[in-house]
Amino acid sequence: MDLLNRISELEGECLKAIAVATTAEALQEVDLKYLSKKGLFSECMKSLRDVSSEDRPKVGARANEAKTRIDAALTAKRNAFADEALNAQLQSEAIDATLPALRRPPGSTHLITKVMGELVRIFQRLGFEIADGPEVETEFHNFDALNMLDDHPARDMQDTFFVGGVDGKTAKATNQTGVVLRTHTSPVQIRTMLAKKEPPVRILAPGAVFRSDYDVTHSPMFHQLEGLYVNKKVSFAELKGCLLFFAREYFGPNTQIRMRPSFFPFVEPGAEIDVSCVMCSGKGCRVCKETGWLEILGGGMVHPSVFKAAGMDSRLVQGFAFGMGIERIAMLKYGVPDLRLLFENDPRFLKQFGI
Amino acid sequence: MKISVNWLSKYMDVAPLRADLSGVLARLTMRGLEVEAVHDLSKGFEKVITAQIEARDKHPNADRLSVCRVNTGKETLQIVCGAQNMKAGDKVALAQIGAHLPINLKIEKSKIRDVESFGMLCSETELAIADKSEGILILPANAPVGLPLAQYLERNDVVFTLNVTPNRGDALSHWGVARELAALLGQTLKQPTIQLKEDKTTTASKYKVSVESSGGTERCFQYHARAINGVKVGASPQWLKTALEAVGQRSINNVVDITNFILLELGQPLHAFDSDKLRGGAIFARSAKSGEKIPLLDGTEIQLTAEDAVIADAERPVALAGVMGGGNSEVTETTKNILLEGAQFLPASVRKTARRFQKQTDSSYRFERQVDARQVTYALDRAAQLIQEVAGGVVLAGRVSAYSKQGENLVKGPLRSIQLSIDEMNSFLGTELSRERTVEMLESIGFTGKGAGSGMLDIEVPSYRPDVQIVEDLYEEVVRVLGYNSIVASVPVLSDLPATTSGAEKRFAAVENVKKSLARAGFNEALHFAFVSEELNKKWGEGPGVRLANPLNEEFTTLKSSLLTGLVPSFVQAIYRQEPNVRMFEVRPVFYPDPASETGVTEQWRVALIASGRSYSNALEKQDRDFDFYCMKGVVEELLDEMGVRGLRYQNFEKADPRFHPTQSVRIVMGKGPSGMIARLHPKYESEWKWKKPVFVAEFSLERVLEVAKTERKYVAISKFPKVVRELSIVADRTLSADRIVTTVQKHGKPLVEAVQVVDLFSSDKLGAGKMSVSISMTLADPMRTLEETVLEGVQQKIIQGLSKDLGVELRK
Repeated sequence: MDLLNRISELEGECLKAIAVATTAEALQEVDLKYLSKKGLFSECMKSLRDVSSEDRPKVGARANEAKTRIDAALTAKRNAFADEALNAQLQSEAIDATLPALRRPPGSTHLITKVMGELVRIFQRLGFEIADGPEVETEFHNFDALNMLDDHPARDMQDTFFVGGVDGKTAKATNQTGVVLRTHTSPVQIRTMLAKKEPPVRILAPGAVFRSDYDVTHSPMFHQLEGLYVNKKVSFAELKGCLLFFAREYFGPNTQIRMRPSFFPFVEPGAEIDVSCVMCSGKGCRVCKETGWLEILGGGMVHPSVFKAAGMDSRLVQGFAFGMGIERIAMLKYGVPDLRLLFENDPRFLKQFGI
Repeated sequence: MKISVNWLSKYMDVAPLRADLSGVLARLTMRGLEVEAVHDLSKGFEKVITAQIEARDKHPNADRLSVCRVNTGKETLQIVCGAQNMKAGDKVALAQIGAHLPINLKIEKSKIRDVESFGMLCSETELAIADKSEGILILPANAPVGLPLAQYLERNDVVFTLNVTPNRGDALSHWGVARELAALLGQTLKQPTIQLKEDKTTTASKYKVSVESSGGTERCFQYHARAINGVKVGASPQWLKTALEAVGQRSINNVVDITNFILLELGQPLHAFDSDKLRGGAIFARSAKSGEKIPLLDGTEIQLTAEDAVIADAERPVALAGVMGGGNSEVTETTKNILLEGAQFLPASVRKTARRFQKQTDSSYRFERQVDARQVTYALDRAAQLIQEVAGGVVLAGRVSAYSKQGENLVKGPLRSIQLSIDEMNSFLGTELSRERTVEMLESIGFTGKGAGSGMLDIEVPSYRPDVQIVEDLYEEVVRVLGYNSIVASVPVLSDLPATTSGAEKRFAAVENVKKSLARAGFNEALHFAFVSEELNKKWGEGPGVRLANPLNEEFTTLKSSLLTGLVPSFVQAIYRQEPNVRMFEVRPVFYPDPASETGVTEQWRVALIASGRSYSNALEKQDRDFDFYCMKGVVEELLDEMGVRGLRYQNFEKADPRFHPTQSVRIVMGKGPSGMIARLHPKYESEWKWKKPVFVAEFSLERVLEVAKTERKYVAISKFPKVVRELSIVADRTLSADRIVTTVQKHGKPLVEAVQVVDLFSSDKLGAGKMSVSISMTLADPMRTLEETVLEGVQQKIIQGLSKDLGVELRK
């Protein structure tokens, strides 16, 4: 049985050659040398003819067995080389994930926009709806209709910008009163009530307002958010409830509010509303000047004269109004130390508050 | 308004106030008289005493210094002093070692030019009781020695500052504040009684007064006068000086000081005339004649209008009523006889006059806020008594008085009465107050409640509260006394939500969306004032803008006509600070004159952007590109797409805009017409700002966007058949816009051409002078069937012919 020996010998040689092959090319050579049509195996198997017919199946089976083993060894080795090659390629494709991303520069909305949005959403949950009005107003809407007649000292509380007319003097509106930059968002109350004529009115008026005052703590343009609720029965206690809700939503659930008498011609009774200091929780600190309280809101019950000017009958309706300065709240909430930063438009400031 | 605690002690027991100063003042704040500041006057006076100079010798080593021996009452100290105005025997203010003066000077033992000094003799400046002083303070010869100076100067006082709201004219005096405090502390006030020693001769025998109204306007409600003859004008006594100085008033002379004292005591302004300077015995409270002139106490002369009220003698105005006395009848050191005036004027008139002439005074301030109509004569009599006490003289018997109709009613008519329903009050306030409790609270502050049973009350308003006019004012008084904090909060039940969303609501949401989108696109929101200088508006604006009549300064004269007036200067600021990639935007209204509108001004909400530098932040340079025109166009288009603008078009400027690069600027067209622009700023600015990169801007009308935007979306069937993409390359003049090629292809490719896009563009000499090659990619589809090659060929031929016919362009060979 020389042939069986020869098969075993070839199998051994071939497997060894496969084992020592170090490259895919070497492996291919082994394949050609042993397994191709003219390879050593084929050569060897030519002598099968000479084997007796009774031994032939045994030799044939042995040859197949050897070929199967060699095929398996070859495939395994080929796969190993392929894996190796792929690995090498992947390694060569390595990137540094810490290199900078391809991203747009950090954009941002202005702090005033952000805070206004935050505040508006709280009152929207209470059913308040946005209303607006022009920044260039008539004295009627800005003052007269709000119970601030020309002879009233309360007008001194608001240094007013007047809009110039053709003659260089103050321009006159179609209602024959002067044209001003609105000093507060309250004229929106008047415009809304005049348009709506009947209760309920439940509006929020966000916007820019203007006063002729410019120093460290005053900006000639600043922002307010005003609220007005008018219905058949509205109480002072509800004003308080509304503002308490707001204060706790915005400054945290443990916030306290304090109301004290004050004077705004368009409300009666009028109130200043303080919230417990957000910095020291009411213990007293530099921000609240050791009082534990921060003055951030004004409000009160709508004055009958305002209803009258706005075309409503004060015997049939009641209402409350409140207003707040956005700059002050923004500075408190975000720790901005200087009002002027808000209007300097320095990108280093603008970028800080995100979208 | 400054209030001295010592002064209050004339009318009430201030012991409870002193015992719990901050507590009581906090309660005053909660009652509506806001305490803004508290100042302890004795601060800085510790270890400062009255002392007497026993001897003054020359300093052995310095000509200008003296060495004094100063008696403190306990010992004699050696003090070196640089002043020249003292002599042995003088009483002085000595700051002993350890004192810490109000000007923040600490007194220590020292050696001055080898001579030891055990303290310092103080000047008024060093004690912060005067702004200026010469030499040291020499006290009156009768001053005791060894007394704490604070006690001697009656500076053991606390002064607090009240922020009095314009409705509370009643609290602009010590008496008024005492009234509020007494109510708070449950005390009864002591009112000083009048004890006048009057002469037999009557004022009426010398003077007549009359009140005239003009054109139905009563500018003077009541006018009273008293004559005092033979006064000796001179320095005020210490008590008077101390009282005035404590609240920051300068002492002038005894007569003027008393009128000021009464103003601060009772809130009633008074005026003293030198009666020898008055011509004739008749005094008129009348309207000024137009053009009439009056010299005022402050040395100015003004020309009056018929809207001003004056006090006049027979010949001329001698005082600007309620505002300031006349220089022609002023009380001076030589004055002997005076006529003392007490009056009440129409608040609106005083206010207008004071504002017209820019003469806001303590007097006009109080008349504007309404004085107590029933206290005028009391104030006048009390002043006469005090003048007699401090300046001597003979007070003539009685007053001369005149009233207008309204004034007579205010003084002699019934007090105002307001009806109050307990139920309505409780409903309004959200309280459950009883009738008794309500009356009790109102009576504690001087109101009286009458009316029997059934929850209705007639409340009588005291004359010092003319601001209380309607029942809501009474509600405030009730809740003020009750304490605002006693109100139990209740959140309103809102069952009737608005049925539709208002336009304003939509706009607010749209503005917020725009801002957030642009922020996500890498832009920073800026916020500029609505006004700029006229020059900036001219340079970066789009129209004349709207001038303010009273601008703050030259920087803020004009309501802006473009948001670039703010963005460009802020951009320049940023690049000057070496910011490499600036991208900013702003959203707010701009202003245009519009004679047809209510105010003559129209506001238009705008969105504006500015950008320069690189497209990405921090990216490797090879991956980045500079922000260019098409980047800006992309930002604008993405935003407008998101907002629902369809059919956005571009249009060249009819005329070059000097702000922009003439061939790199385009108008944005939405709906009816031009509604904005995208542009590169004119390159001359790049060199002006020494900035090496192009700067791009865009601005458009937000109103127009909201007008044309369609946000509703509807499902469109998705075709089951494949799409085919074909490319065409054509040669065209370089001036031909891509937009025209695209629309021509669309026009001729209907209805199969779904989308057209320019994919390549180059120019080359080989194409011919001024020519370019444009490659277009077209997507074709038929919703009903697969497109056959013959059909495609047909469409393509139609398009090629169309391009040739409409634009004269040929296929590239």
